[in-house]
Amino acid sequence: MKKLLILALLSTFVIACKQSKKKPEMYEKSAMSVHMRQMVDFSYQAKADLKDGKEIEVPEFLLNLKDKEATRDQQDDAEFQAYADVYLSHLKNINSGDSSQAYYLDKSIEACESCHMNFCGGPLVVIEELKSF
Amino acid sequence: MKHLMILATVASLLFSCAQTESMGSYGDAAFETTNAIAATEALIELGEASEKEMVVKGSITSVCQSKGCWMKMDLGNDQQMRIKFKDYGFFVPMNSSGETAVINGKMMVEEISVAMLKEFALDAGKSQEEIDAITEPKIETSFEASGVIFE
Repeated sequence: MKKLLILALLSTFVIACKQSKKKPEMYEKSAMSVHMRQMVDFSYQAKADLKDGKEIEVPEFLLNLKDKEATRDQQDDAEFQAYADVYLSHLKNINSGDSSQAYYLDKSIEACESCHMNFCGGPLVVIEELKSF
Repeated sequence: MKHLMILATVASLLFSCAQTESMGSYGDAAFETTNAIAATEALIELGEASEKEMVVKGSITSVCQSKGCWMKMDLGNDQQMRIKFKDYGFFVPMNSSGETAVINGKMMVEEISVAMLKEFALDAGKSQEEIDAITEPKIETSFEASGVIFE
């Protein structure tokens, strides 16, 4: 009887132990999230290059914004698609190579801000930093 | 001898139980936690200031279920504080509700826009009805954390 009691006690402790070890469940970055971090990196570099008097060019992969999967499938939202179109048109104007590259870069960042005021406001702080760079 | 063996086994099991994994540290976790203010005292510490740097320790009551990009801490007296992470630079585990955390950063009182309130409600898994009922901005106590250490 005593042995059974000890076994029961030990089993209880083992089970309690297993239940208390919670593993952190972290967010897995969506394709859209990764793409947008790349958009930020490009914008910072582009701003720095323009300040140095260099011409900038938007890499082709940045134009593939609309087919990237977002955390909550925002890419399927017609409103998001409209904001994306505005952003992309500014990027294409940058690549048209005329003297208004800085203007269109600023407009592309403003387009990011407009969209994020409606979808996922968290990154607005990132955009504010970028605007003041 | 048999009793000693049993006692040793139970003791080692209890000891291994006590070594539970914490939920980890995030952001810049190189800050002093010894003099952390209890969350229940944080509003007193803020006083009349609109913002103040501090280290606060408290219980996490909810976490953004989309990304872990914000969490709420219990301030006592049915009040909670929303914690965001500096420069949107890191996230916390989405299952860290119920854990104790020490946070370093800036406590502030700010107006949250309707759009952000709706976003927070969506992240918290609220119904569309509850989200649509949000029509006014809200003054909230919030915290911008540069580092989080879960205990």
